[in-house]
Amino acid sequence: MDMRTLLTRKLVYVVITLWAILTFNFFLFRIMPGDPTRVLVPRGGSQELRDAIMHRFYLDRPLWDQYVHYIYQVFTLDFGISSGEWKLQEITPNLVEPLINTLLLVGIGTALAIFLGVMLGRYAAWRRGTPADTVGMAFALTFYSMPTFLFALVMLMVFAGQLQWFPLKGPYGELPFVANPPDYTDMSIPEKLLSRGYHLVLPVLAFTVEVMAEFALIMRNSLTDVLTEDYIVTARAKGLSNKTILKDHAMRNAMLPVVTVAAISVGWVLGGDIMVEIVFSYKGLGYIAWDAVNLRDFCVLQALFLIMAIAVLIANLVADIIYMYLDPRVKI
Amino acid sequence: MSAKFAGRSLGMRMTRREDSAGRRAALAVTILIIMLVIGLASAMPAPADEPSGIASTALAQAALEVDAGPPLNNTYGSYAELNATVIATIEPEDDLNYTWSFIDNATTVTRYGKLVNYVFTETGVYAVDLTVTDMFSNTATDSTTVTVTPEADAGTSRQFREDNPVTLIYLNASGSSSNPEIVTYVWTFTYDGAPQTLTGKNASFDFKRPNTYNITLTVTDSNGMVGTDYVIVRVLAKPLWVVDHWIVSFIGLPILIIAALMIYNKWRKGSGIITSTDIEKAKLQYKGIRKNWTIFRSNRLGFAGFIVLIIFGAMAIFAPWISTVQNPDDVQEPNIIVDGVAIQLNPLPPSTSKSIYTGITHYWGTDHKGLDIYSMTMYGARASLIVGIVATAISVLLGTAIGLAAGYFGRVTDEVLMRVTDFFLVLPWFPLMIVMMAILGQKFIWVVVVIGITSWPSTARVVRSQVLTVKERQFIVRAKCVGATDGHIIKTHILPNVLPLIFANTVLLIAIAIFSEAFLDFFGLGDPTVISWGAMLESAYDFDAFLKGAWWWIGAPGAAIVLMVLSFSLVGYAIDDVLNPKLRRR
Repeated sequence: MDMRTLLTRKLVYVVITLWAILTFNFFLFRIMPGDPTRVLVPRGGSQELRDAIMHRFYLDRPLWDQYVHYIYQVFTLDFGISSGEWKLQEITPNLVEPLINTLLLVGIGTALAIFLGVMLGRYAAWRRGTPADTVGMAFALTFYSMPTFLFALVMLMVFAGQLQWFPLKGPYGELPFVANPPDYTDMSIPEKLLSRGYHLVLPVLAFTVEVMAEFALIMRNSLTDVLTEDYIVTARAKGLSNKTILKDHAMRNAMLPVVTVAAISVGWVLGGDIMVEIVFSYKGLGYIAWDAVNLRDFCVLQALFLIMAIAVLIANLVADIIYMYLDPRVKI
Repeated sequence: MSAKFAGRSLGMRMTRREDSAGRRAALAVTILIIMLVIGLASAMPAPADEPSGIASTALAQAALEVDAGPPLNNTYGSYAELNATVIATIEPEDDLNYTWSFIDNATTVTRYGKLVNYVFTETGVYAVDLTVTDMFSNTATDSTTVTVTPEADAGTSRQFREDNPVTLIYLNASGSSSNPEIVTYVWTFTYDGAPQTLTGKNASFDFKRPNTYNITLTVTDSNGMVGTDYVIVRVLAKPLWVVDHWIVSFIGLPILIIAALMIYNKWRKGSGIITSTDIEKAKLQYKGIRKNWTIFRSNRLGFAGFIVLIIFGAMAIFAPWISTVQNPDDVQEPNIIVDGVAIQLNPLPPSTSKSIYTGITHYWGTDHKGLDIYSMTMYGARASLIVGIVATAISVLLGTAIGLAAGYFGRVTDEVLMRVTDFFLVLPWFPLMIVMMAILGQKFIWVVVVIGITSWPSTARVVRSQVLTVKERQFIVRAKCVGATDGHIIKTHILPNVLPLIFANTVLLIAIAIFSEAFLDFFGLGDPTVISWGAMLESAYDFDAFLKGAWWWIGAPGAAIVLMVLSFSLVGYAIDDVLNPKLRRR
């Protein structure tokens, strides 16, 4: 099977899965309990008002008509109107800011986590059996077993609550060493960046340490496997330096599982990290999703679900392609 | 919350607008009528010595009318809300002068304003007079009565099960207050079809029969005024054994059925229930297990994890015996503040001395409600272990079935099932869990089911890849040639080869399930009636445990979660080690 056929097939799968997600998304929120008009129509609203709103949201049409309309809406990036947080506003423009916040937090966090995790795993695997390995793996296992929200909570309470080194919540607003910072909109650009960075430290730290542990474990496992392979013995017998063996012979092969997990993690970037975002009241997509669940804001949830699923889908596709490039055996 | 809030504020504004509109309309109509009458009066030939001013004064007087409101019933110590309603006036009603007067404690009290709040010093029936004066010095009067009754407090409602060791309930009316003092306390309720009456500030009654008892407390003070309150004691019927032990039934029943089927099969074939082959098989298996156990024990971390898990299991099973409180949700340390000075405020730090209020030793402190952290941590092991094991059982069953079918039958079945698996794999599962919990409602069983059905895709993938390698082996091809059916091949050849490998995966899945349960509880989506570590952390977060310096409140459940998940992970890796000989070499 050559590359092109394989790619075409993957693309077809992606399209099918996408359609399935769209359909699932449509029906999941149709079986949710509760009358959506009850949220939208003010108390004491007349039947005419209710009818008008039903009409506006296509709820008075037959199901297939709603479905077709939904698909059309999604392709025009129109996610409808919010009934919760942004009352009766268009959802799409409102999603931009949380999207940026999330990209900053989870993007930086994921990049750091992958880098540090791979480093830690490599270090531990290369010195396996030594105290350094034990300590490194104990660290990784502990944080892998610790719920993210618990670690985030401890960070928040110690560094923001008790010591007050960092702000308690939000994506921006406060400045270090400034008692009464100006409004975010009045800040100069370096101040804005500083404010964002100041607010990002704790969430990014919490996120990175938690995700890093997973990468370290996978990297160590994979690398210890590879280091027992015969070709490593051969390389050693050839008299290659340790550095060359690790870099050119072991790491290349050991990176494969890491790439898969990294791709999925990158896909999750758009989903945000619900736990960290809620604990730090950081208004990213995860926080918005949580709010939407509490407010029964189905349109927003639907939009978020779709964004997250599509991001993971694309990340998976990219992972497959990278995999094909890294491991030629996959093609067969 | 804000949607509801917005709706409410919208509603409020609407009613207020209607109100003022109505009032303005009434005013306009009144003025119109007055002008019309004035116009008629002035158009009429007036008597020479009567100026029209007098007529208008007379009309204005007729237009002032006021209502002091319906008779009020107040408990002792609460504000009586005297509110005047103006029925007719020609002046804006806020400009009118309102005077309330009544006799309290033998002195005449006068208060001014449209709305007056007053606390009567004694119980009794008071007549309150309202006088309203407008700019023309016209007056209108009305009166109403305020009845002040003693404040009765029957205490908090309680709920327990019929088989509770203690069914004697103490009724405590010490929250009641009045001036002059309360002389009689009477508790009335219906028990077993017959009316029951208890007297005294503190009373007790043994509630043995399951029912909901609505107990009315009637207090009478020396003024003869009567106050009432009620308290609900709910005695729950002991549920059916199956409902009470649904987990045992869910796991035990299938095992029983499978055992019965196996015995039936043997019996049908005509061989004895235990044949010599069975004994040989058992011996072999025993040998294999012993060998694996030796390898497992050599993995120190895994063995340590195993021991920790046994301790957690013991905690879960023996929770009622090792905890200091029988029902940790019921026994609370009170917050005690006297004259604004806190004598005792929760959360309490760990201590080794007995509490003087409940007689419980709080080894690990209490939470904000005064509940014992030590006992709750013991009970919390139950929820975590049950969710971990049952949810994983669900996901392994689903995953294995789908993986087997996909791997074994291949072709279209594989394609379709793998698309479904991929679909579930890309679904954002934390939001999905949240949405499903929101749809299904917060019941413990749904927590288990939701975690189970969102975590099966990884098992399906592992099983499928294993089946694919096993399927191509020689013995499968031979079995097919002999004419074995698919069911037989799957049962006797594929499953035994695949199951050991998914075992390690299963133990790791348990860790994730426990994690998910803690997550759901932490974000308030779990069953509020079940004691769990996640819920403990949630309350710690909600009530700012760290800002209060209550490290024990986060420490105990947090450490428990980390230890349990860590042990499951370690045991999982160790089992992987045992079953994958290739890993052992390193």
